[in-house]
Amino acid sequence: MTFTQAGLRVVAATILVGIVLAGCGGRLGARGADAADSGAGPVAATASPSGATDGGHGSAEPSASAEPSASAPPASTPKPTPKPTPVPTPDLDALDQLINQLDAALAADATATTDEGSPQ
Amino acid sequence: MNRSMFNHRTGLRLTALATAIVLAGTVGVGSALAARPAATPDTAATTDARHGVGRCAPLWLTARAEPTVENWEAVGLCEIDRRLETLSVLQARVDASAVLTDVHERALDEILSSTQSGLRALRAEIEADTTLAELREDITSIFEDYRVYALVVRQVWLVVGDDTVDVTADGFDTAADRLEAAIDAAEAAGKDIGDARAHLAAMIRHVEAARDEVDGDAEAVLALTPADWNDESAQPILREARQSLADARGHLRAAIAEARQVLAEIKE
Repeated sequence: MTFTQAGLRVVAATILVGIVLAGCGGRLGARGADAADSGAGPVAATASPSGATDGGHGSAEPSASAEPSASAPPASTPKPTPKPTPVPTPDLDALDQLINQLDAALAADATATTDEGSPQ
Repeated sequence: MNRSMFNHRTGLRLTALATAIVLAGTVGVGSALAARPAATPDTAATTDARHGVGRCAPLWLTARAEPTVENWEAVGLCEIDRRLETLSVLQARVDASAVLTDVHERALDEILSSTQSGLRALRAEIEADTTLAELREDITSIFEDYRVYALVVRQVWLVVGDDTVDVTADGFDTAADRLEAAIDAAEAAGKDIGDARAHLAAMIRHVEAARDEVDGDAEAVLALTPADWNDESAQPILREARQSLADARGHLRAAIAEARQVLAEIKE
């Protein structure tokens, strides 16, 4: 009875250690994938199925997770269409205003002489 | 006591805030008003009744009816004062001008300042005159030695006009470059540009014609003196300068019409 209890404890402890180690292994595998491309972050980890499921092997394939766009199909990323450079049009209203100032100058010139008067 | 102090302080703060808002508004309005003369031409020099020939007319009538030293002195001082006011308006116009060349601005400054100082000296002489003969001579001098309206006002406006033509023509040069680029872009995009290039060429011809019209006019006008007006040699030069300015305006209006045609052609 006592022997059986001791055996059960050993078995339970072994199972616990196994579970804990298995969990750490999964986390280490995930960290390995992140560590391979720290700049990609969680998007890179989820974008690459192998990185998520292969555990420790994810770190062995940095190129697959580091360049997700290279492995993506061309149809999924729409190409930006180049916009034509806008050609600036001249400000004709400003030129119109300058021409209107000539009206004022000519009008002032026309009335000036009548303001002179005469000493006679 | 404390509450009244609080209310007093709050009131002061509110008053200060309101004052600041009013001051800010006043400054804004003041700035806007200050900016107006540069944006719009000031024709007050010759259209304002205060500076017109009618301002001193009642004094002339009185002096003729009752020719005393006092009455003729009043005529002389009135004629000088309205000229000095006109010259101040012209000086402000010249100072605010964005189109005058440095050389033309300096020349006009010299004409205006020498005319002002001469009239001020003459004013002092008129105040010191004690006989009708002295007053008659000095009052005649107001007209014949200065020709403020017959010559100086016209010098300012014609030279400002000539320089406005040049500045406008320069603006058309920039417009021509942009219109040409717009035509090229429209053509490259497969659009039918119609007569756009012909309209652009016509615009450029009108701009050059406008430049040619006023070429050298400002220098000729600035060289005139009251003596030239008195011997009637100034009048044809002023007439020609005025006609050239009017013709240049016609060419620039035609140039604007051609430019709008270019835009219409490439947008269709």
